[in-house]
Amino acid sequence: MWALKWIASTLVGMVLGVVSALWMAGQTQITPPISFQDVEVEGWHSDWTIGSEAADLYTRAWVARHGLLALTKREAVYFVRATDDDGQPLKEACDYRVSGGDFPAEWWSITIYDRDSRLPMNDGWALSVDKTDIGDKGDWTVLVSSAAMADGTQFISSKNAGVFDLTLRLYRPSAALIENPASNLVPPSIETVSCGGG
Amino acid sequence: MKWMIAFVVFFVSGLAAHFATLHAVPGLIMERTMATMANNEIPFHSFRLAPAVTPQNQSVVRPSPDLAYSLCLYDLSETDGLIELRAGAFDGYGSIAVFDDQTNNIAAVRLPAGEETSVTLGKASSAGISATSDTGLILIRRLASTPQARAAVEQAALRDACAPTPIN
Repeated sequence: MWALKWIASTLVGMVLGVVSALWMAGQTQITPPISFQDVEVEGWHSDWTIGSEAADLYTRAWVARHGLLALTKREAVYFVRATDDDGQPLKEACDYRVSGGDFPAEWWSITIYDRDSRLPMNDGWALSVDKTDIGDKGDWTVLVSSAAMADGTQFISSKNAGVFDLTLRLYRPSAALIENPASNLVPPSIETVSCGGG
Repeated sequence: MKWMIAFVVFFVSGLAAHFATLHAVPGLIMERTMATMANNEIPFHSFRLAPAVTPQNQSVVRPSPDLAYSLCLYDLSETDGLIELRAGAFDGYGSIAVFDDQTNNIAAVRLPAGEETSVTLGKASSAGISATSDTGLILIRRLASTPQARAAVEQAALRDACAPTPIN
């Protein structure tokens, strides 16, 4: 009888161990308690160990599922943000004003991804902005919305995105940024303009 | 006492399963990704320039629609142990990145603007990039956020090579 209980304890323990590992590593549909906690600048999260063998087991598993083929920090760093400036989740039903300036990197882009880390299934012509789009304007603003503005304002389409995040890629980041991100990066702000459109 | 032992068995087996799962996930995902790519005609030991990224054709998570991707799968056990990589000259941002079978980015070689770039991958000490596994994939990223840049990438990619024998 006790042997059966020990076998049951082993099996239940193993099942819970597997499920908790998959959950904490972001392998399920339920948001895990951790992801990208290594570096945080004004709500934008990153991890300097992405892509490297130095990453812990949770980060490695999370990146394999949500950011496969990511580069190490010498070549690129990735910041993810899933909330607006007030801490509310980003969602398709709202319009957002994203504003920033230049970044300490050779090239950069900001791209929208849905909760499955996929590009939203829309017509696909406005899923990101990058340094090429902005040019040398310095300060810039783009609208994140499910519909384009009639006045031609630069925008990122959140159509069919549901709950989403924005990923800031910084290619060939400066040494100063890697050394001290909080002092050397002014990340974009994300201001909610309106909600209820979807 | 027996309840205590049962709890310890539960705890230890749970912990072992937890960390074994975490350890296995990257390798399993990489294996599945490489199999999917092979089924989608991404070749072993030859670069293929993927079509421009769209929501409809994304084959990996978080692709960048601003970049063009050339892919090559490798299996060093099928070669003499050395692969020569070459990226055709391109004027914009570009890199050659090598990933092992555990998803680690073991090397990223920057592409100097306007210059062809070559490097070797293998387990031998003479290799420019030291491989940490027999299998993996190589990815050339090039900036292609405009139709003109995409056309330039398509020209540059004609010179890309991922060959198990010395390139002539």
